[in-house]
Amino acid sequence: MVWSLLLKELKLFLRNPQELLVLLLMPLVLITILGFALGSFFNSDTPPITGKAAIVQYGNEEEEMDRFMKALGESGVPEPAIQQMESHIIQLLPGRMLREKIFGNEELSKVITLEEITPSDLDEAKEKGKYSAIIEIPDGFTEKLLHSLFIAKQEIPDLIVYENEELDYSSSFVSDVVEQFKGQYSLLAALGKEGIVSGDKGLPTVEVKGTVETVTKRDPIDAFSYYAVGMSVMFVLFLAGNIGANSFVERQQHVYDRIRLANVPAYVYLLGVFLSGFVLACLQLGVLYGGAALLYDVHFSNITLFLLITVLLSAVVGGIGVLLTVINNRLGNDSASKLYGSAGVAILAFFGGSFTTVGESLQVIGNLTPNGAAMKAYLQVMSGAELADISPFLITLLIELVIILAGSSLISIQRAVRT
Amino acid sequence: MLDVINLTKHYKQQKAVQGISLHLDRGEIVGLLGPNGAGKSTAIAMISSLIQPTGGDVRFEGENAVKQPQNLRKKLGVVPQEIALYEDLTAKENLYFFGRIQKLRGALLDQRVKEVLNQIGLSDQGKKVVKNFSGGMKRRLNIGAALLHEPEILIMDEPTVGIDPQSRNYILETVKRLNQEKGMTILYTSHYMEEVEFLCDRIYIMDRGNVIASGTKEEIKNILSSEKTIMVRTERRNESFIAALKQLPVIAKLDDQDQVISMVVPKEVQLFSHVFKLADETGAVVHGIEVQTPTLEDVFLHLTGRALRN
Repeated sequence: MVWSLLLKELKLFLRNPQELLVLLLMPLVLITILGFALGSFFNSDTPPITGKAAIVQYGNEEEEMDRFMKALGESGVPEPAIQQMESHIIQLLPGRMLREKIFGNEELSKVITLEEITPSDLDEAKEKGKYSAIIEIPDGFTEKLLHSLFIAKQEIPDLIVYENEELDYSSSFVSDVVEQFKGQYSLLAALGKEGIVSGDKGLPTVEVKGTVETVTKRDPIDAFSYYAVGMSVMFVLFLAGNIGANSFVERQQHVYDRIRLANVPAYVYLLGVFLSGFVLACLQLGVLYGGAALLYDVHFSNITLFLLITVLLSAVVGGIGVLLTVINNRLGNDSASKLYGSAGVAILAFFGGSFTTVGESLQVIGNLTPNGAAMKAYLQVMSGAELADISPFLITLLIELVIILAGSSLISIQRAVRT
Repeated sequence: MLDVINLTKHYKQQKAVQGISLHLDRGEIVGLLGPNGAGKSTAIAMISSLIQPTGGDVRFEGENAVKQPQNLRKKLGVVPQEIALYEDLTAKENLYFFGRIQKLRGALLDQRVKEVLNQIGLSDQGKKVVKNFSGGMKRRLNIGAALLHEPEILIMDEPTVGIDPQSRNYILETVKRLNQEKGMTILYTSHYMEEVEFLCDRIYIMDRGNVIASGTKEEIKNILSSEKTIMVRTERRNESFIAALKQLPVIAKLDDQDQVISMVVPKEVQLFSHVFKLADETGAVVHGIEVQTPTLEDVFLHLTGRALRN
C-alpha cells in the first residue's frame, strides 16, 4: 500500500517539469553563480583580509625557560656559555616570538590583531567563534622544545591552531602564518644552536610538530562546496512544501476520497506521504551533490557520514511534508504549504546560512533549523570531521523529526476526534 | 440492501440536507434528481461514509454504516462529480494505482485493469496521459476507477456533467449495461431529467435539502395525471404576454425560458383560445403551441414552482 503511494508520488514528481526545474536545476544554477561570484572571498590568498586571532598559553614561558636553563647547566654546559645562550634563547621563546615578532610586525598587525586569552577562556572563544583563529601553546611546550633543540631530543606537544571555518580566508591566513613560523623557528633555533654548542655532538635536528584545526574542524571550504551544501539544504526544504501542496490537491480533487473509500487508514496514507518526501529528498540531495561533484569537484571525505546526514535531513523533510499535509487538511486550504514555501523556507535558509554566514547569536538559532544543522554537519564532514564532531547536529535533526511527527500525529488525532 | 434513515447535515449557517430517507434494493437503479444545490452531493457523501452526518443513519445489509463503514466501503464504488484522477499519470497507471489501493494484486489486477478499460471503451487509450484526454474520456476513466474492485453498489454523482452528447450516451449505456449484466445496484444522481428517465427504476426528487417526491417514474408522473403541460413558442420574449398569461387562474404553474413558455394546467382546460387572444392583445407573435404529456421536468416544476436547471 505504502509502496503504491510512493511509486505514484515518484511518477508524479518525475512528470512535473516545473517542479524538477525548481528543485533540481535552479539550485545547480545558483551553486554555479554563487560559486563563481563569491569564490574569491573563500580563497585564502585573497588580499583584503582583516581578522582577529587569539593566543592562549598554558604554563609560564619564563618559568619554563628557567627550568630549561637549569637543566642546561646540569647537562654540563659551561656557565659562560649558558649566559651567552640566555640572551638568544629569550629571543627564541615561541610565545614571545609569535606575539612580538610575528603578529607584532607592523604590516601583519594591520591585517591580523592578536589578543591574548587565558586557558579558561579558550572553550568559550572557540564556541563563540569571534576569532579567526586561536593559537594554543600547550603546557611545557617551550621547555620541551628548547630541551629538544639544545640538550636531547624529546616528545614535544603539538602547537595547535584552531581555525574558524566560517571566517575561512582570515583564519587560513593565520594558520599559514603559524605554519611559516614553525618552519622558520626550527631553522632559527638550529642556527642559534650551532654557534653555542661545541664539540662533536653535531647539529640536532628537531621537528616542531603542529596541527591546524578549524574551531569546529579542519580543511577549508571553497565557495562551490559551501554553496553546494547551502543550496541543497535549502532547496530540499521546498520539496516538503510541494509534498504538502500535492496532498492538498489530492483532497481537493477527491482522489483522497477514493483512497479513504478503499479503507486505507489515515496513518497509512500519511506514512506514504512521509516516505514519498523522504525518498524524493534523498534523490534530490543525491542529484544535487552528484551534480556539484561532477561540475565543481565538491566531495565529502566520509561517505558514511554524508549518507547519515542525508538520511536524517530527508526524514525531516518527509516529516515537514506530513505536518503541512495535516495542517492543510485541518485548515481546509493550502495556506500552510503556501506560507511555508513562500516565507518559511526563506527564513530557514537565512538563519541556516544557505546564502551567507550569520552572526553568532543568529547562528545559535540557525543551528537549530533542520537546514542549518544539516549544513553545519555537511561542512564539517567536508572538512574531515568525525561522527563525534557532527553528532550534536545529527541529534538536533533527530529531535526535530520526532517533534514534527509527534505534532502531526496530534493534529491528525484531534481532527479525527472532531469529525 | 441500503437504507438511509432521516439523514441530516447541518453546517454552521446552512442546512444542506434535512432529514432524507431512501432505500436501495439489490439490482435496481435509483435516481436522485434535483437541481444544483439541492443537497444531492452532500447526501451522497454521507451515504458513502465520506462525511459524517449531523443526524440520521445509513444501514448497509442491516449494519450501521455510519459507525462501521468498512463493510460498506468494500462493496461500494463511488464516481464523484469531480474528475478524481491523477492527470499526469496514464489511464493504466491510474487504474493500477486505484486497483492496488483496493488491495488487488498480480494477475487479478492486470485482468481487472484490462476489463475495466474495455468496459469504459478506453482499451486503446491506456498508455495516454490523462491530461491529454477529452472531457468525455476523463469521465469514463473516472467511472472505471470506481469499478476495479467489482463493487456491488455504485454511487454516481452527476457523471455526465460537461461532456458531449456522444460521450454522455456512451456513459448512460455503460451504466445500464453494468446494471443488467453485472446486477450492480446503482444510485445515480443528476439534474438531467432525461438521464434519470432513461436509466432509473425508481426516483427520489430532492430540493433544498429535502426529498420532495419519490416513487417509480410512472408513480411520479401520476402526480401530474390530472394536468398537462402546454408549451408556447413566441417570436421573442414578451413580458406583457407572460404577465397576462400569469393572470389566468387556470394556470397552475408557469415557467418561461427565452422564447418558450411552459404552463401546467388542468387536463380539461382548453387554453389555446386564451393564448391567441392574449398574444393579440399584447402584440406577441406565437410561432408554435403544443401540448406535452408530463415529464419529470414537469413534475419538478409542479412540485417546486421552478425549472430543474434554474
